[in-house]
Amino acid sequence: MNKNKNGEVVELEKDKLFLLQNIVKLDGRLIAFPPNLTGFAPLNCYVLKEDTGAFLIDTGYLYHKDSILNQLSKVISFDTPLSILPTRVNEFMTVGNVKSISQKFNTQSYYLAQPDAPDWFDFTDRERDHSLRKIPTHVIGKHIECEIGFKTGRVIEIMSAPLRLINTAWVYDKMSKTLFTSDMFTYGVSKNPVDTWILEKDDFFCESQFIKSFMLNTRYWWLEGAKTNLLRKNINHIFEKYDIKTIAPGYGKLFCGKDLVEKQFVKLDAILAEFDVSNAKAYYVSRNHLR
Amino acid sequence: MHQNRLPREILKNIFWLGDCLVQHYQGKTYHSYNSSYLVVGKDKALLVETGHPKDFNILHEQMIKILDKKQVPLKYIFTTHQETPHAGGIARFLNLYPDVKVLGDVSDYHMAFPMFTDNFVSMEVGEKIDLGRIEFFAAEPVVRDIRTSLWGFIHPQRILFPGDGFAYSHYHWDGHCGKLAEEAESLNLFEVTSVFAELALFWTNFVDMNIYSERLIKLIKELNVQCIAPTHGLPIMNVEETIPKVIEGLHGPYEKIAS
Repeated sequence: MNKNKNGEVVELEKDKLFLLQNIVKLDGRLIAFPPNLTGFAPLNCYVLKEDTGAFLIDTGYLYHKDSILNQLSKVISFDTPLSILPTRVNEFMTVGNVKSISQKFNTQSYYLAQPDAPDWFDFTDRERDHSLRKIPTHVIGKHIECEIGFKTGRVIEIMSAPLRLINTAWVYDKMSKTLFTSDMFTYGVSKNPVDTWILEKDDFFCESQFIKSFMLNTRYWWLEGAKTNLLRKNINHIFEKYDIKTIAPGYGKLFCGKDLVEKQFVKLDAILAEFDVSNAKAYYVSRNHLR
Repeated sequence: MHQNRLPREILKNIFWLGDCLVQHYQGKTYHSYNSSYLVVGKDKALLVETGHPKDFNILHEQMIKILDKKQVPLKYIFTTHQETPHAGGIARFLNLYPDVKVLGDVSDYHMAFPMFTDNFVSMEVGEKIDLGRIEFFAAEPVVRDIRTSLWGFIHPQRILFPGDGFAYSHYHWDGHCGKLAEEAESLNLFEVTSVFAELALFWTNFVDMNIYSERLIKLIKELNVQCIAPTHGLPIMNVEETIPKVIEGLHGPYEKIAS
């Protein structure tokens, strides 16, 4: 796989699936990454496209507004019917550009855990744009299906994430065999600003110890000594249920190829098994406690 | 339609602001809050949390009326963490008050609100600012979600602002909106705390909460907390009487799974 440049659209499946990406320098100031981790990481948004419509997963930070709008305009036209799903509605990384995209593109619907989507993302300007309230919101429960475009037969499944910190959605696209995992499998970072952001083989930075530390020093600070066997069951169910060729996280490198995908699930399962209350003692985790 | 019963002065110069958020769960309709609190010192005012994005205009009107009357300027905003119901209003406030400083763990804000990077001031546990006869401290966030959370504490009133801690909904149908926890007599604190934790604090389903409640009780003793002003729950004015019920509810999801 070639090294893609920052701010450049990547076509993951010809005419069907696109990656909008911005590379950030890690300096301890992003909540999604360990505060002591340096290097670079991609922040990812995805466009699932058919001739009669498109579906956008996540919208990026407001900081990347121009880049995201520019990349999106290279994938769809302004009149393409568009649906938007911010996978973590409470986080700035996923909702930052819902408003500006909605104003510029032909947004037809939102997918959210809560009704009245604009109430959750319309906060970046001096005034609200009340016209956005006319755009319907589809409320995601534990599981919902959605067709991309009109009568295309391309159906994606949106589900509540089996392991999460806050309200989070995962998406499975049967056509591309891609699992979009929002804030899970996000540990693929790099020492360099230009790198291969789409992995097809394992690399050093994805060692289990690194993954463990990454999880404990970010949103999964609470896992050690928790009842993780319950979580393992739910995660394994997803791995067994879906035919997954690509793991597409909301940030970090993508994992392509069935072997590499399986490796990530196996590693996660082993880590969670190690963390389970039957193997690890729970203890109070204070703020800034790094492991 | 519900009638908003806020703002409310819960202690002298400490105002509870915001409006209810309606939520449905298993056939029941619950109300919860995404509250803000206005702390008015002799010289400066500080707003704890910026409220739910939907509430900005209401919250702002409530705040202006109080500050106009008190003739004290808004100087600071403190957010407990980087979720939109807590910090989503930052840009809208800074558009109107460009000199206001946003305090707390300010991670992510340079990306979320890049036009206001100079307004963000980092605080750590134990650091304080003086509002004039009231001091505001950053405190340890015992019950939290995002790793960058911080709690607030003010002296001499000894009020704790715990963000997502002490989170629970209330019964709109029984007139609890705008009431203090102790005034909402029919509120089953165990039930509403347990439901809130199960749904919004996913990790509490899997972690033995004894560890966290022990630390919570220790913190309350260390700081000699007299009142608690949560973002999602009703303010707690009788710590000794009410806290055990809330803590019992916090244990609810884990015990439900364990059983």
